[in-house]
Amino acid sequence: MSALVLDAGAFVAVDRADRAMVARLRMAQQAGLELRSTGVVITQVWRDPAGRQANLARLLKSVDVKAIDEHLGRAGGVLLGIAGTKDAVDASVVAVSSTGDRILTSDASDIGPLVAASGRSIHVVPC
Amino acid sequence: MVLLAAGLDTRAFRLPWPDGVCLYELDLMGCAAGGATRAWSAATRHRVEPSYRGQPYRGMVPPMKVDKLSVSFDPDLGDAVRAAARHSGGGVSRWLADAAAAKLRAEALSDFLDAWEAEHGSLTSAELSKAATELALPKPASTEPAA
Repeated sequence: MSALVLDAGAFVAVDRADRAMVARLRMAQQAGLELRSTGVVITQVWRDPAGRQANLARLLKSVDVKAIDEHLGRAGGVLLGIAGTKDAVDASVVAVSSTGDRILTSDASDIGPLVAASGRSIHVVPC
Repeated sequence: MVLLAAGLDTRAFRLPWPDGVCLYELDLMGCAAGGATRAWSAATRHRVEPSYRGQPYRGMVPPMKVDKLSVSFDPDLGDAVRAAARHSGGGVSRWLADAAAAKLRAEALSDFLDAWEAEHGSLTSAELSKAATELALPKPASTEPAA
């Protein structure tokens, strides 16, 4: 099953009730794409222990949040080495993406080289 | 020779250890209990319980809770599940757990989107069409009357 992989920018957009972002999620749902992200991306966007990020909290129940274990950590490190970039969070997003997936990101210029380094056919969607 | 997490492993008995080998089996309390030290082979066998600062080590991670369910399948579906689990390289329990988790996430997404649209207004065909284009997905069927 292909996935819509969410970078921090996608979560932030949902948190501020961005209609274009929610429309993308609806289309992904109708196309049978699963939502995926990584734990370190959640670290970037989750700030509130008191439940005021209600939209985000509800959305997270529908996201397959991958833990970055040694295997994925190494894979992300290899991508950084090939791409010549340094952002470990971006690398984690690409590391959990497969051919046919879409990555929703507000940082397409940084994600793009990592996708190219992966050699996979992944559609990068700016948000 | 140290056998880590020996459990009920029988290497201590099965393998032809050379004379003089001192064999240690290391495992948590319970697993290492009842350690008979009878000489089953040429090796000298010891069962060892790990300790930390003089206290028996009972593991840093609490025992994993497992909810065991009994489920019924149409025979053909059961065969298909077993085949899919084998194909994935994991067991039937793992395959079913992954499938159930994916189903729950899909239902959570549907609930989230329905609640969001109820609160913020339905997404228009134009909004959905634009999103489909961005994601390189087929355009949605129009739900709005033709002009």
